[in-house]
Amino acid sequence: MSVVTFENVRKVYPLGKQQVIAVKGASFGIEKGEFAAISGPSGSGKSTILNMIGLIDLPSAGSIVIDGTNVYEGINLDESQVTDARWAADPDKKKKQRTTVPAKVDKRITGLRRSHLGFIFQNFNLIPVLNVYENIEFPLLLAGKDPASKSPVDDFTKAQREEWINFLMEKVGLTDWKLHKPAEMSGGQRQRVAIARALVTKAPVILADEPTANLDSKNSEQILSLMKTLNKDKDLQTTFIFSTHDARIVAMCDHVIHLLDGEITSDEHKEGSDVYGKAEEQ
Amino acid sequence: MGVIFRMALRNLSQHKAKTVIIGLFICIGVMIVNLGNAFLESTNRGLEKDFRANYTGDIVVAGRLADNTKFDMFGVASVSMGDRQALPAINDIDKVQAIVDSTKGIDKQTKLISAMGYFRTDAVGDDFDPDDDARMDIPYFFLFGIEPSTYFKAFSSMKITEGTYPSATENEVLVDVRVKEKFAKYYKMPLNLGDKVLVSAMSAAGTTREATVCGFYEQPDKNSAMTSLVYCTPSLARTFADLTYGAGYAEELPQTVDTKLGTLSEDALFGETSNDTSDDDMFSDSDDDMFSSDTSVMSAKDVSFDNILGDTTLRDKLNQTDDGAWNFIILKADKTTNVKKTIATLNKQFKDAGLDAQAFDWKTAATTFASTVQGISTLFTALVVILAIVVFIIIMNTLTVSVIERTGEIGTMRALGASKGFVRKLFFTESISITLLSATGGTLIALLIMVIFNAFHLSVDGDIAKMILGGGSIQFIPTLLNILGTIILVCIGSSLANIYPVSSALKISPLKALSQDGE
Repeated sequence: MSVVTFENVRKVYPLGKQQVIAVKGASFGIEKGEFAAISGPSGSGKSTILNMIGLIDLPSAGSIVIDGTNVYEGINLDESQVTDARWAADPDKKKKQRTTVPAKVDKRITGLRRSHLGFIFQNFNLIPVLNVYENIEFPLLLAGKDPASKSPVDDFTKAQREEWINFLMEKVGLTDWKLHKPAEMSGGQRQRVAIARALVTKAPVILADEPTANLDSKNSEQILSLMKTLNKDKDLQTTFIFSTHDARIVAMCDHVIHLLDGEITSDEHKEGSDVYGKAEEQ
Repeated sequence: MGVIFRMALRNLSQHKAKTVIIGLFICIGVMIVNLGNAFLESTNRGLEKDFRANYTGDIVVAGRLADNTKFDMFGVASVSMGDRQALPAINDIDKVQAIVDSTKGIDKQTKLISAMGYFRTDAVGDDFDPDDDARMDIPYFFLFGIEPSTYFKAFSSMKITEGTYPSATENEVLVDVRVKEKFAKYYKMPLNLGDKVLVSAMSAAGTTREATVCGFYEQPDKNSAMTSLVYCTPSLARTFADLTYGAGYAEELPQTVDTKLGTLSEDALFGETSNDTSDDDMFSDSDDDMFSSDTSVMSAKDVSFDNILGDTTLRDKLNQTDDGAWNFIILKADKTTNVKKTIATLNKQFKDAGLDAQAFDWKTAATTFASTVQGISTLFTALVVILAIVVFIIIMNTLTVSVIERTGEIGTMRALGASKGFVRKLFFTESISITLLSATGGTLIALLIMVIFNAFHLSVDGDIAKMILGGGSIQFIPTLLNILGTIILVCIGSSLANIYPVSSALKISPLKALSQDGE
């Protein structure tokens, strides 16, 4: 079963009076437990696709389904789409693309981000005033009343939560850095905090945008190895999706989607990829 | 909520420059507002205490002016630069007095006549010209005609330094020592007990009466806003307050007065008559004038020249002061908490009895003085509003810059699943925290300044300064209500200042927000 499904998804950016089509009708599915990569050269649209999977960027058209939820159901994306013909006919028309969504949809998206998606950013994006423990704990503190935002960890007792966070800190090797602030840590350490934070809600999908771009080779290897280990962990059953042009990451992935100029040029599943769902089926 | 509060405090600590700038503005603003409020509170309380105890009592009963023009114990409200309009006498004073006597809640009462005047002396000639530096020291005063037997029981705090109260019958004056000093400076001669002085009206009519100085007194409160005041025999005050029979009963002319001339038009007196086309008028030498002709409008025998020009008995009678006329009945309540209720009861009884009388509180009775304090309060409020707007804009700008700086952080939180409400709460908690801390600081500094000022018992001299400030004492009386009110208002303002920048930040998509550098 696909945990992420894209159907004919387009993304058009207005650029002055011109428009840039970043993604030209992408359709693909990523299954639970995959170690997947969206790969391609700079400007091919890989980060745009990752951002749309992560629900932090809106598609201009098409549908995105996350773990069975059609995310933009009920919102007219076509209304905001700017076509080539329209630009040609009325280049001065100041039609803006939709950048925000109605409150109801925003609530749904916010809930899905918390319960189903974990982010590992290229720039780490930790909260500067919180220490390591608090940064990892932060997504757990965002529990809302909406069932869509519910994470399995929300039912944990306080002690179980502490135990879970300590376990994650141990997994990423930061137990001794528990009370340190991000500013006091190296890039590699910050990225480890970001990985633990992404995992803390037991989100089924972890998205990583060029996770090794700001790390040296040693740290890169450690981080990738850590993510692969977590991916293989049958208790966590986490799907990892990378946006990358790093050949090492691509080589480690069992599902690779190649992009060129906004179009999918190949969507390959490697031989012997060990996905839990498939393994169990077999 | 715990994490929001924790993050808010740490953010404030991390962004020290912003915190210090906003905090200082709020701190100084709250300090100024608290100092101003405490000063005005002190002024209002001081004015009320002084006037209720020494001049207006708790309740004042008065008549009404025909056109309902407002007035107080010190004059009629008027924009006219001409003569001072006389205060109304209480009509049907016996009936009014009966109602007052039968009303519960009144401890003491006395009657009063209010006028204005200044001292002259026969010792200097009509062409007297004061020294340049003494021109402002003209010995003018409010003239209170009082009933000594009841007045000084009601206002027992009077400090008579020399002599005694004015008698009920002789033209005597009990003089404010400040008037004595001004007299000496203006006329270059001392004013002593037993001296004869001329009391003149502050009007073009120039009414003047001679009076004897029976005593001198000091104000009970040296810092009082009350300007110079001279107490006198009621009949003397009535002369200056226009409380004559003529003023009250001009319409009651007796039958013996010939009013025929008053009914004739100018044409009838000096123009042509229907039967006579000559140019002769009533004063011509012609035999056909109005006094000899049967066809004239009036015969000589109809006109009583004695009545018109000769007999002044009536005029003299009308110019006599009305011994029963008073401007005010001043009441002291047995419990100050009952004043409003007693006023309402009195006014209802006056209305039910069809009397043209009214009762009001000390503030209305002393509008002349209270309004200056009110004016200062209004000016202060206006300044505070302007200050608040300026501070509000500065805080909003600082917050806008701060929020823009933290767009990346907002984007991260949103990407991790934080709702817009969470982000709003975080920024509002920051605002409220810094506001509460700074406002508390501002309040403490203000209280410290107040303690220091109050310890020195500072005061200002000069009638005008005292009148403007509602008294000479520079004291501060902080009240919990004012302090809490200020803090709550500042918190509301600070929260409002947050709305625009936070809303703007939340309109940015998480993706754009994330494009900012992270940690």
